[in-house]
Amino acid sequence: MLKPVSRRSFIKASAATAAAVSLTSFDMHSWMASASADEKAAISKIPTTCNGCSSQCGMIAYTKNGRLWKLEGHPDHPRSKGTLCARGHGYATLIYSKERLEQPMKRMENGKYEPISWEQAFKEIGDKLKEIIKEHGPESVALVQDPRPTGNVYATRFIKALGSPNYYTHHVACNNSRDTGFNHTIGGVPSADIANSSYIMFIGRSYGDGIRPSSMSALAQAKENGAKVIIVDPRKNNTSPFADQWLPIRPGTDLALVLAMAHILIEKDLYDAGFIEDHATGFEEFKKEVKQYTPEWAEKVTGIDAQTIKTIATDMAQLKPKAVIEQSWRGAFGCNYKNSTETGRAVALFNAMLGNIQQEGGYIFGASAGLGDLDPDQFPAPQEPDAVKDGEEDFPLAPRGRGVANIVPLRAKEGKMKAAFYHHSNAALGYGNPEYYKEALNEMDLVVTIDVQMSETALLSHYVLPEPSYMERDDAVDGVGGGTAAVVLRQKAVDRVHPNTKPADEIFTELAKASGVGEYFTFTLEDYNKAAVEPLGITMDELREKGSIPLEDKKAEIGTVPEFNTPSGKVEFASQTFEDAGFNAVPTWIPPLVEPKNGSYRLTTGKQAIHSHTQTANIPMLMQITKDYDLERLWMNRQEAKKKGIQDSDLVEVSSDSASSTVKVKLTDRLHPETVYIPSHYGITSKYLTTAKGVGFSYMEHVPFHFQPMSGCSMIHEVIVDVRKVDA
Amino acid sequence: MPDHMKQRDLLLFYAELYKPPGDAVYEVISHPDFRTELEQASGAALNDCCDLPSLSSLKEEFRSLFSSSSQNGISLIESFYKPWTTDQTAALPFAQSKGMMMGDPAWHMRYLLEEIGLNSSYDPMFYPDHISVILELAAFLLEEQETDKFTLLVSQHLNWLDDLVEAIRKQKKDSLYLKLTELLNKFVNEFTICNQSFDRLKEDSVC
Amino acid sequence: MGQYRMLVDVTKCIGCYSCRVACQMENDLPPDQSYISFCEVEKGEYPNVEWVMHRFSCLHCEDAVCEKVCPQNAISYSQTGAVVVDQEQCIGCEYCEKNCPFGRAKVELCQDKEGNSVSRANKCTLCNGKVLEGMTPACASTCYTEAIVFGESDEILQKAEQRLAEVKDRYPDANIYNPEGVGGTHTIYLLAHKPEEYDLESDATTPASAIIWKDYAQPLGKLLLGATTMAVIGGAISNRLFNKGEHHEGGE
Ligand code: SF4
Ligand code: SF4
Ligand code: SF4
Repeated sequence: MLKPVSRRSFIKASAATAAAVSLTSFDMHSWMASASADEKAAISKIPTTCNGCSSQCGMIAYTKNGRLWKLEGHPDHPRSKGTLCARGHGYATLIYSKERLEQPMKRMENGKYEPISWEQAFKEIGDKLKEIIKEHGPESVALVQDPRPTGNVYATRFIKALGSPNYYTHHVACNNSRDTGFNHTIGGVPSADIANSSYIMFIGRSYGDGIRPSSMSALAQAKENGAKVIIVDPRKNNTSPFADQWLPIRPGTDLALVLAMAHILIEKDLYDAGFIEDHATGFEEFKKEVKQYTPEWAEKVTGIDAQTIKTIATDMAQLKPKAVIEQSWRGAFGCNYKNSTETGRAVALFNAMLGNIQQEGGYIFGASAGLGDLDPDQFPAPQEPDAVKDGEEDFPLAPRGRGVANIVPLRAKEGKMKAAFYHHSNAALGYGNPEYYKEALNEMDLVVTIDVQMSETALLSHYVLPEPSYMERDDAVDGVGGGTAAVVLRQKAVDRVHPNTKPADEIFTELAKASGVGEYFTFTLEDYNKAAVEPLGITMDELREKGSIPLEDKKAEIGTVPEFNTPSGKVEFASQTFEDAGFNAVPTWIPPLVEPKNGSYRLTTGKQAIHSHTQTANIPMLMQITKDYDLERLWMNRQEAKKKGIQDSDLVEVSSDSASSTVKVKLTDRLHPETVYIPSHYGITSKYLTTAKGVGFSYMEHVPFHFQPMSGCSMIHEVIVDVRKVDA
Repeated sequence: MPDHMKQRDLLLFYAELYKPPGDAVYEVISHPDFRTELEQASGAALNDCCDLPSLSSLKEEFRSLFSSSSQNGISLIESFYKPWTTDQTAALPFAQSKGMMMGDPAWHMRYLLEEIGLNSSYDPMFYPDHISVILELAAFLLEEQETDKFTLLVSQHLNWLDDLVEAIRKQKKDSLYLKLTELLNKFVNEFTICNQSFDRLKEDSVC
Repeated sequence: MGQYRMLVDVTKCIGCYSCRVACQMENDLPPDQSYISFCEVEKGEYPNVEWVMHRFSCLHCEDAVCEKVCPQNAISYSQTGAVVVDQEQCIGCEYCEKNCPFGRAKVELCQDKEGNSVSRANKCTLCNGKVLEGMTPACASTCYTEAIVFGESDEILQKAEQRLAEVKDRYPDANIYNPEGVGGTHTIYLLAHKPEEYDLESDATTPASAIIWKDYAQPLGKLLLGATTMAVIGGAISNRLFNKGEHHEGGE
């Protein structure tokens, strides 16, 4: 009677017999003991890649009985070279965390999330999508991601198959401004050859905070060889032990510094005239413009004395071409200020004036891996959509492939964007003002998030689809460009913990089928991977075994200046494209959008070595470091604090036009008095992420929802705050 | 019906109870003889409890207590309550922490199921150390009259019910699930052996 | 096997915490336990400020106080030069913790073989097992700035001297911390400032009382009373003889 009539039993007893297992093995303790005894034999070594940050270093996972046992850096991977950073070690604990998404979920009428089956999820999403496309056209659908190898193949194909041009990446809150500047001057973003350089200037970028192990060791090596290192940053950042000089620049004025340095090179005739002659256009116009940017002028703007500027520019010219302004990443001009794109142009052009392009110790355009693609006859690719990507008309200079992701919420509010997919992206906390994002996403008819944890963006979605973690799945083959290109594979290292998760390749394939465009997804991930390695003369078996293979025949050619990927094929000191877009042909001083007045501060932000955006905040091992050393505190200049009666570790209120936050303060002499600095990893509000929730605050809450005019970036440093002590 | 078969049915009932509630389980709970049968089969008394909830409120209660889609969802998975591994060679920071999935218990359970030939169905909720899986295996052992193995299984894989009871109590004191889990815990404790180890079992020192 | 040494060059540390996490991995430490601690030192005023991150772990003294005071003989010297705790022998009496002149030995909750929580001395092992197998300690092999280097004892001393010469310009107070008073150590530090700036004593020593305790009182007592009783008595002796508060300030 107790036995329910129709049991939905988990285990099927058809041919089972308990006698098959000895009593000893039934005893967990003795079984564990014997299973651990022959462990040496059972340990397997699986090369794969980290997902702790965008560097995606190669690593080796040791596993035992399908579970993770140990991690090491992959010795052959160009970015890890055998070591992993704190995140690389710590992020792996995500696999076994309880706070992961386990099954597809749907937001119900009452706002609560209910688990649903995959069939139901695909069907409902597909139906809704078809309905939206029918009514509003495919241009009302967008897809946004922080790209990872599988997403690069599948997500882009999916949105294209739907007939929509609206594919976007996270770069609006990362390095789109810099890239816009670099693309239109030197046709792309090279990497500084740090290890061989004699004079290195970093603007905003800090190898000691935004870690990539190979970069940090290259810098250590350069120092060993006697290189001079300058850091330009309102904050004496964690690279400073390796720097000879710190220039505490007034935030947002890096452009003035670089323009003045260019001025010196011209005035003293120190630039590489031969290079300019052969490989550049528009130099005369540039010369005219730069004439006004004297070091004395720059001193007033930047707060760095004219003599220092002169000395540095002259020293760099003397050591050229082994002198370089490092290309930076998000740093000071990735997406930070109104003038960041111009800073990008100025930096690229200053390096060109040093003639360091494709020279040892200068800027090197790396070789690319040259992966193959699916055979279009066998697996027809969707057509390029006719419509232009939304935002491209507003921001014609921004990198086309990546688009301007913050167009999506803007158009949602205008009622034009009806559906959005967010894959491996926490846009609602990371790309722009969270309040704005919330309002905008609530306007849409369909928001779908694909992720591993219940992020703030997931909490604004109608459907949440769970992926297995990066250690539990195979990804698409990836090429890593560089001095020597490499081909790498992220592969499944451990057994899947949550059986009801699906990797992105399966999710997009099923979504495509449910949306009526399944004909473009008749291939498997393995088909793609085979096609990708084919032209390299490498088999998937080899790649699986090695994980990361350097391509010795794909090396950057040093010494030969390449054709530049610009309209003229040359370095463009003056750009017709800029002029056509309504801007100045040559880089021009533009002041920052907002200025702190007496007693208020510019809120600036940056990375810490132990976290990646907000993605790692819920990892107990990494968050514990934050807690042990109060790393979530707001930095404030000691003298400024004194004026306001604020003491170290006091609780302060930080308020801007957009928000107000309370946080503990760290007093320091390592910070420019006009700014307060907050690490960018905190302020998680999702109640599903209990380790991270409530620690620190998110700078994004203070950043108004706005667009940098040239690149569409979020201008994350254009915000002024007041700071006052909170009485306990 | 012989005692061991009654107990088997009791365990199967519980296996159902810890899955999202449906008509079948509700039919059992709402039957007028439910309490008597339950107490008889378990040989223990049910603590006084609430009124019989409706099926829909039972569903809501299950969701708010156990579903991963609710915040603070209580885990029904054994690994969560135990150190991840006792194997000293694991070079991982969380090796001995609690609160992680796929720990030693899961690994042992998976081994047992595979060896016995109990095919695990591909079910969204299927974790080898989910409480329902353990209960189903326990029921199977009773049916096969494998008393020693049954004793070991409940001693080692259901010795975390105290924690589960506590977790439910913290969230909802008057939950039907709390009362029923308390009863299951009493029942299981009857079979639990002191030292939880095989050697002791041989020496017959059951407490 | 020769003896080894580790050099921590604080002038090269960028405070990335990778060594802490790599060490936690290697030694199965839970998130809130770490053999490595950090302290930031800021000297000077904006904009003329120096910042140094001091990464600190057990020094592995030649003449280790912790080894001397342990009533269980649970602490011993490895052939590599490391001072290691045998957690199976340890009873968690905290003598080592109370008497370490550097505050490095700590008694913390650990798991024993059965997975029970027990109080045990817990500190850097200089990755003894790894080193015996011919490998480098986890922290040293993960540090990409080479702020941590490991090698043959003498080579490391030389390396330290060479680095000291290199950094003298920038840090005039730089020194090698390898206190004589404890017979020298197997983890030595290149400090950018005077040891006091890092809460370290310039002349840390092995207290005479510890030597007496080890060489006379303890063997005798143990014979008569057995280890556990001794632990109780020893607690009193030890606390009175070299109470941490009186002996030296600071610690971590
Ligand atoms: S830098 Fe660190 S987090 Fe990023 S990929 Fe490498 S090891 Fe992983
Ligand atoms: S790994 Fe090296 S640089 Fe990083 S914190 Fe440790 S000692 Fe410092
Ligand atoms: S030597 Fe080994 S135990 Fe000691 S701090 Fe380094 S990694 Fe940890």
